[in-house]
Amino acid sequence: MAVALVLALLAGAYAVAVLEGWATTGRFRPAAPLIAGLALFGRESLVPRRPDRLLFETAPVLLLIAALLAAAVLPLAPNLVAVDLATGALFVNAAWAYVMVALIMAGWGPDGAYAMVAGWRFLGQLVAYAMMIVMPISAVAMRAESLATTAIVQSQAGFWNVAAQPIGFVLFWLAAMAVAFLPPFDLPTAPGTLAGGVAAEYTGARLAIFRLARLLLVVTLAAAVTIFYLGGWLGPWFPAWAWTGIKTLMVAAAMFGGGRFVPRIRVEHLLQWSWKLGIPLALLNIAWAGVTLWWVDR
Amino acid sequence: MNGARAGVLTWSRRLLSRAIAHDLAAFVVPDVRLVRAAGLDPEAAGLALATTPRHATLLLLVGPVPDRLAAAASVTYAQMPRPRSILAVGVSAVPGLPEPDVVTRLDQGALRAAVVEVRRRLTAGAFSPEAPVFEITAVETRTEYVCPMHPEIVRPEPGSCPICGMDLVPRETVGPTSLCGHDYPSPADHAAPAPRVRDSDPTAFTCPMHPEARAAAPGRCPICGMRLVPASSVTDHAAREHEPGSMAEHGRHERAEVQRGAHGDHGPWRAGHEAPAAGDALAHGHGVERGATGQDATNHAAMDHSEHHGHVSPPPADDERVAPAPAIAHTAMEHGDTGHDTMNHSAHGGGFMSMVAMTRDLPRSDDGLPMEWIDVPFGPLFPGLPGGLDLTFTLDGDGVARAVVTEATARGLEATWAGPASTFPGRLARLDPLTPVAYRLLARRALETVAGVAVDPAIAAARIREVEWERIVNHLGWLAEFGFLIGDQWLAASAATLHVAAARTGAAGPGALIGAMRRFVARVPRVPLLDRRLEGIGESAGVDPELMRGPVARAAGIASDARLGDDAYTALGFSPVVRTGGDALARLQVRLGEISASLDLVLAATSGPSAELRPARLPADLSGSAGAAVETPRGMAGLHIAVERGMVTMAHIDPPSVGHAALVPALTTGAEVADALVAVASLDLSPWEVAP
Repeated sequence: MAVALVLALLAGAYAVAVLEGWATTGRFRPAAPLIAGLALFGRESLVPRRPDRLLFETAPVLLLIAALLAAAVLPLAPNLVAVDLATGALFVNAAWAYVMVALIMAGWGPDGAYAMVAGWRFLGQLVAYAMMIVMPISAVAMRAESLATTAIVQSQAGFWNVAAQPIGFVLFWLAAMAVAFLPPFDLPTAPGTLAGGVAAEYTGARLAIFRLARLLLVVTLAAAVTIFYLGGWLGPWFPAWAWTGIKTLMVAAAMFGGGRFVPRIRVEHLLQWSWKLGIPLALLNIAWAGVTLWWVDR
Repeated sequence: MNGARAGVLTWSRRLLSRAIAHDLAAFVVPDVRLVRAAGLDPEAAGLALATTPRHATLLLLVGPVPDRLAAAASVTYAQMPRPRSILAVGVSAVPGLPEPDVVTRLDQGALRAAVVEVRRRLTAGAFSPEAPVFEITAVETRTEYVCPMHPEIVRPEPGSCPICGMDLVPRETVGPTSLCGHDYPSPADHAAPAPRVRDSDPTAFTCPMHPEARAAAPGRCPICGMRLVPASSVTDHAAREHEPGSMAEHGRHERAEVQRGAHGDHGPWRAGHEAPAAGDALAHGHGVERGATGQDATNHAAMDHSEHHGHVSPPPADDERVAPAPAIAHTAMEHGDTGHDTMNHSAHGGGFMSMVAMTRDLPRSDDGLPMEWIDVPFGPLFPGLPGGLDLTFTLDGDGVARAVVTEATARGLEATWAGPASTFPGRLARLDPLTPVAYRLLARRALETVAGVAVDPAIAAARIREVEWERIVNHLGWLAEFGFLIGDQWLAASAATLHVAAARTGAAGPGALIGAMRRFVARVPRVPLLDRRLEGIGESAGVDPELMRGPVARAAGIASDARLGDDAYTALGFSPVVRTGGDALARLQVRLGEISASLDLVLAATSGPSAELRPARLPADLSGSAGAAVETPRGMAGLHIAVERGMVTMAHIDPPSVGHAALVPALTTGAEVADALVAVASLDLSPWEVAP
C-alpha cells in the first residue's frame, strides 16, 4: 500500500506540474516537467557566498517533509491512506504549519535581500491564512463528528460539504491557495517584485527539491479541498481512488487557472480582508454548520 | 563552450545535457521589453524567461549594451549556474563577458535558428573536462580587518585594536583599500550630479553627527565625511541622543555605523554598491557566485564549507535569534566573522548586550520601529523594471527609507550630437531604443525650425501616424512589463503578444490588430482587484508639477501635452486623455486611454493623403539656432540646437524621464517595497533618457 501511495503522490505531483505549465504558458506539454527536472539535476547547485548553511540546506527538505506529512493523513480511498489518524484533520494543519517555517528558513538561509524580505512576508501571509484553514475545518469536523479524514469523507455521503457549507468552502479554497503560495498569493516568490524571492538563490538539485516539495504541497492542498468539501472518493462508476485523483487534479487546475487573471494581492490587503472579513465569515460558517446540524437532528 | 560545467561526458550526462538544452530559460540583458520592441518574441522562439540569473541557462544580450550595463551583465553571468550559454542578438561582443556562443541579428527567424544552435551546442558541450574559468573583472573583493567596537580601525592585516586591544575581525569588502569603512563612494555619490535633486528639500539630508550639515541629496558630511541620512530619521533620535554630548554618545553612533556597515560590507548587495567603478555592477541582490573559480557543485560545497567552517553550525547565541529586526539578526548570524565575534567580545567585556542597546542607534522610520537599514539594488537588470534603470532602495524592514536612481546606461552620446545636420536626426534617434521615431522627429522639427521650412500637410499626417503608432507600441510594452511586476499573468501575456505584433506591423498596416487592441483596452479595467492593487500607490500629490510630463502629468489632472498646439493634431480632433488621481491606477488608465486615442489618430491620419516620411529638404549651409518639442510616449521632450554651416554645434536635450526620475524618492519613500516598485514602474522611466 505504501508503494502505491507514494506512486500516486508522485503521479499527482507530475500531473500538477503539467497543469501548472499549461496554465502559465498556455501550452500542454506532458514531458516538460520530466525534462525540467532532469535539467535541474544537470546544473550546478550553488551555495551563496555567506549562507546560514544549516537553514539554507534544510529549508527545501523541510518543505518536502511538510508536504509528505500532510499527504500521509489524506485518504485516496476508504482503505488507501497511509495513517488513518483519529485527529487527521488537526494533524494536516500541523504539517502545513511547517511550510511557513521552511519558507522563512529559505528566506534567511542564503543571505540575500530579496529572499529575506520574501521569507518574512510569508509570515504575514500565514497570519492572514492560518485562521481561514482552521476554522472551516472545524465546521467540517462538526458535521462529521470526527477529526478523522476518512470519517469526514463518509459524512458527505448525503450531500457534499461544498453545498452544506459554501462559505467555508470559499474561505478554505482561498486559504489553501495562500498556503501553497499560488498566484495571486505568491508573495514569497513574487517573480516581478522580488525576482523569485525565497527560491531565488536555489539552483540545481536543491531547486529541484524545492520545486518538487511545492508541487506536492499543491497536491495535498487540492486533495484536502477534495476531501473536506468535494466528497473525496465518493462518486459513481469509477473506483474510489480515481474519484479522489480526478477531483484533486480539477481543483489544482482551477487554482492555477483562477490565479492568472488577478494581480498579486498586497500584503496589507490580504491581512485586512482576512481579519476583518474572513474571520467573521468563518465564525458565521461555524454558526451556520451548528444551526443546520441542529435542524437536521431535530 | 565557455560556460561548460566541468566533468567528463558520460552517458548519463549526455542525457542531462539533452534535458538542459531542451529546457532553456533566458535572462535578458537589458530587458525583454527591448527585445519585443524589436519585433522579436523570445517565447515563440522556444525560450522561457527567467526572473533571476540563478534560474537561467542562457544570457540573452540585446544591443546596445553600455559599459556599465556590461559590467552588470558579467556579474549576472557569473551568478548563473553552469552549464550556461550566451546568445548575443544585434550586438557582437560585450566587454567583460566571454565571447558569445552564438551571435545573431535582430530577426525572429534568425533568433529561432540561433536558439536551435544554442541547443545543439549545449547538447554537445554542456560538460567538458577542461571547463574554462570565468573571472569577473567588474567586482573584486578583498579581506580587511576591523575592530568590532571601533569601526574606524580598519587594517589590511590581522592584529589588535590600538584603542581597546580587541582582536580585529576579518570582513570582505569591495573596492580599493581605504582606511575607513565608509570611505567608498556611495551610490548617492554617483548620483550627485543627477537631476533628481531639483525638487528636493535643501534640508532633507543631514549628518548623524553634525545636525547643522544639511543637504538636498544623500552624500557625505563636509565636516566628518559620514554618510548623510534623511533628516526625518534623525530629528528625534538626534535630539534624544545628543543631549549629554559625551564621547560615549559618539561611540554609540559609531557602533550603529558598524552594525550597518557589517551587514553592508558582508552582504553582497551592499558590497557591490560600495565599489567605485562597479558600484552598480551587481545586477541583483545575489552574491557574486563563488563558483566563478570553483569547478563543480561539490567543489563549491567544499570550498564554502572550508571557508565558513567557523559558522556553519547554528549560531549559539539565543539573544541574536530573538532580534525583532530581521536584518540585524541576519547580520549577526550570517556574517559570523563580525557578528559572532562582536557578541563574544562584548560578552567578555561587558556582559549581555540587550536588544535595546543593539537597536538604540539605528535610524528610525516613521513607525518608530528600529531596524537595520540595508541598501538593496533593484537594477540595473531587474526583471519588472526597465533594463538599465539602476534603482537602489534603502530598506527599513520591507519599507523603503530612501530611493536612489543612478545612471547605469550612460553611453556618452552627448559627444556624438555635434556633426552634419543631415545625419543629426538619425543620431538623435539612438537616444532611446524604445522611442527612436519620436526623437528622430524631434531633431527634424528643430532643424526645420532653424531653416524656417513649412511642413507639407501630407508629411505631417504621416508623422502623426508614425509617432502615434510608436506611442501604442510603447504603452503596450509598458503594460506587459507592468503586468509582470504586479503579478497578473494574463495582463503580462496579452500585452506582450500585442506588443510584439504591433512592433512588427508598423504604422503602415494596423488593420488586423485594431480589433484585438480595442478588446484588450476594454478588458484591462475589468481585471478583478486591479483597482484595489493600484489605488493610492505612487501618488504625485505634493510634488513639483514642473517635473511631471506626459502620462504622469495627465494622470494628475494636468492637461500638459506638446500635441495641443499642433495644427495637424487639432485638425484630427485631438484632445489629451486626462485623469485625476495622480496614482499608479490613474497612470495605467491614461496609458490605456492613449492606446485608444492614438489608434484613432493613426486611423484618422491614414485616411488623408499618404506620403513618404521624408524630411523637407534643408539648405546645405544651414545656420542658426532653434528649439522644438515633441510629445514622446513618456511626455514632452525638448530640444535646443545650434547649427553653423550645416553642422550641428550644440544640442541640448530635455527628455521627460529626467524629471520623472527626480520624482522617485518622493513617490517611494515610506512605501512597502512592492508598492514602491509599482510606483517606480508606473512612471515608465527610460534609463536611456536619464543617462544619455
